[in-house]
Amino acid sequence: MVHLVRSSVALLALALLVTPVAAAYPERPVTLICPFPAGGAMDIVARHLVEAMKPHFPRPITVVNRAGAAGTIGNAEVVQARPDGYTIGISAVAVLTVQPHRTDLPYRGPDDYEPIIKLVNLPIVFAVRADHPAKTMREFLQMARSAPGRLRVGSPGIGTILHLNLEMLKAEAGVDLTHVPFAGGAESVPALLGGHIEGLNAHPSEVLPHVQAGKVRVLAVYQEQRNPLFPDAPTFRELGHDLTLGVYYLLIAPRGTPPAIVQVIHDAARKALEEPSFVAMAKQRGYVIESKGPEPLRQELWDSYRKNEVLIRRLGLGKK
Amino acid sequence: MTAVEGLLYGLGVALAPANLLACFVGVLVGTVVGVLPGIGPIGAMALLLPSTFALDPTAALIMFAGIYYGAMYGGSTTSILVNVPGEAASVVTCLEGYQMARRGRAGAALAVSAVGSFVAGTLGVVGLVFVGRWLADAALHFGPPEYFALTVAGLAVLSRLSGTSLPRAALMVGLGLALGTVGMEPMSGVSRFTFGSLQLSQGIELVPVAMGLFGIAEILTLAEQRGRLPRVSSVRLRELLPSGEEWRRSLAPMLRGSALGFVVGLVPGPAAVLSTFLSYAVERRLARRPQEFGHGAIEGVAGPEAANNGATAGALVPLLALGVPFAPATALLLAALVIHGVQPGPLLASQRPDLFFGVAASLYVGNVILLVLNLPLIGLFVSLLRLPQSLLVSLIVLLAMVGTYSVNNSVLDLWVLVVMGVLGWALRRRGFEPALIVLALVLGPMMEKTLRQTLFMARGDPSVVLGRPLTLALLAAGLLAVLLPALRRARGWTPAQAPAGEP
Repeated sequence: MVHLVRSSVALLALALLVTPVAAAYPERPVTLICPFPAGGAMDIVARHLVEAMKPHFPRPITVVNRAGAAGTIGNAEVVQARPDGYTIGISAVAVLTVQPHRTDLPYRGPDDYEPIIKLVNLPIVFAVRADHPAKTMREFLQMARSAPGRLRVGSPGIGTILHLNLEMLKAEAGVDLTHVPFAGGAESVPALLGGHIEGLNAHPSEVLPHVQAGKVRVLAVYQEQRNPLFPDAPTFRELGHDLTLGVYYLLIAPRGTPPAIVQVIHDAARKALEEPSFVAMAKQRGYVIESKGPEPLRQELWDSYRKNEVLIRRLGLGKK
Repeated sequence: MTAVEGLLYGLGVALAPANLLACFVGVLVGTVVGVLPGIGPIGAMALLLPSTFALDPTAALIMFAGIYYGAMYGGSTTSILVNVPGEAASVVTCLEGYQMARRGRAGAALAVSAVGSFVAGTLGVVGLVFVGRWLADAALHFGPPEYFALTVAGLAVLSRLSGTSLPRAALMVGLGLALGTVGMEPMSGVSRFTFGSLQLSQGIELVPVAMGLFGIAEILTLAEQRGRLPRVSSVRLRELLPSGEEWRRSLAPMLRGSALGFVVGLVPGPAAVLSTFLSYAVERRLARRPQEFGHGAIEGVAGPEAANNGATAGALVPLLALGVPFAPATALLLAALVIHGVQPGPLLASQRPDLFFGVAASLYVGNVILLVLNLPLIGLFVSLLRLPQSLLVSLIVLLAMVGTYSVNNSVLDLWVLVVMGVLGWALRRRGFEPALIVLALVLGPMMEKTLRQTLFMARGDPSVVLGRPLTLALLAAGLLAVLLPALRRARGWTPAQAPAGEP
């Protein structure tokens, strides 16, 4: 008996020595912090992801919403959490690579947290009201040239990727458009429908029901290829403007989270991205699934970080 | 499908067992979170969002809608009994409801607010189905300049509701507006008055301000004056229910409040709060005995309580007719659909009549359940006032603290509660109206944001506000509300001396 106890203790000690964490992780439920309110676009993706991860992850993952300050509050909480794999976060490219250039935050560059996996790209489209005289993007830009500043284009907020796209369009096409920032798509879409603005940068799911109802027309998409939801709308590249900047969502962990744990989460999430329920959600909302592992993702984040730093400074939106 | 056919079809959908159950669960949860201060319908829906994966979209939407309007029933309970507004939409109910309780009419106030909610919910269904589409299209004519003018006019008109002098009212409004500037500036995200705290950058939360200014302040006043909370000696049915005269006085305010609330419900953001203040102001102006206001006028409970329920029905209009949520609560209703892959839009009523009419009809079903659920509870709630005062007071403080903490799990919010409690106590001693702080805190951020958007639209030219007929009319109404009393006074023409028949 004593022998048995002794040998099991020895075995246990050995097991602990050989595989310090990976074998044990996850022992308890994991918290996934979503830095935007429940019911928002990111929250919907987070909840579908968690649902799709169920068969591939042995413990429950709970989505907790910590909204506020353009996503930086929830992100800060993830970054400052204990790096044990039990607190992770979902985030977006702007929260990670635009906001640090605008305010002082507990994180700066992509080395201040561990990227886990890239999830989806959210394309951006340019829409007008269906009764607007401009039938094509070229016509819209032509109208803008002949009446500088007269046409008003909405975005879901200053410093969002959708806003940055508009500023780049202005610079690329050499036109003067008046930017009107709103607080999210729920505000900017009614403003377009009511004719308070002439154009709008939005995500496909925000305008799709109104396109189907014949109230709104998509003139162009900020994508490499045409969007299957709006096959008639050309890409800006087709129109001669190199504008393909999109939003992407990803998972992050606090800095110092063991690579083995990051890998466990990454593997489960990668399988979840292939689950039919997740694929259907992405297709319907016009998202493009792209799973990208920790290191290539960090490269991409650094790339976005440096490009956005230049853009923010050029637009005068940086730290004072 | 005509509206009447649709409604009958919807009734069939709403009464299907699974949907009926969803409706019951929804309104039950709504009542509970409404009665308990702090966590409101938004928090409850956010917590329950994962559970909707297991439901079909119609049932999920019916359940969430039930939580939303159910909370408006319960919200008045603590306002009336112990002067603790469970949420911002119940602040106005404190003004008259609590005074009624002090006169021993707590039961009547609770009954009137439940029936008023029911009337508004029922009329809301009619509005939603028959004029919803038309109203939603009309609401689109409101852009940032119109909303800015609306908030300015709202503050001007509603600051007159308290009966305190103009400078005193202006001081309270100014204080509320100042509190509203704490946190991230709504357009460019610059932090203001945050002293480097990420918590403060989220702004000052409404719930602790309301509970502090009313609930905690009331307790401090009691302690100072060695006063008593409302008591009831016996809980007899006759005393619980409103008298014939109280019913008669409540009927017109309920109807007016329902209609007003429904229309105001289409205003993005703080529609429910705005509707209660507006209804209170209207009833005060129309009352036969305006001198009773401030001392427990039943009109001041019936109107606002109907209005906040009307507003929830109105807020469903943009969601169901356009697919756009105008308020945080309806954004969660949208989420319950989107999670199932239903993206509502202008075509919802024709593409998914089961959803559109089912939810509309469930509104009526849910309101019947709520009435049946709430009327018997009145006796129970009123008998809480039989607890020894020492126990009741500690319970109220505990409830306010737990409720505040439950909203954001933030210790900072608890400090806001305490500071506002002391402030509310001091203001009342000096005869100021703390409700105006809440109103300004609600409208201030919206006013600032829409002004900024207006200026963005016009490239910095403020004259655009005056160039649109709707904004001009709204601003003129606001100006009139401020100037009229002063003019009357100047001519020695006070309402007391007004000839008979003058409103």
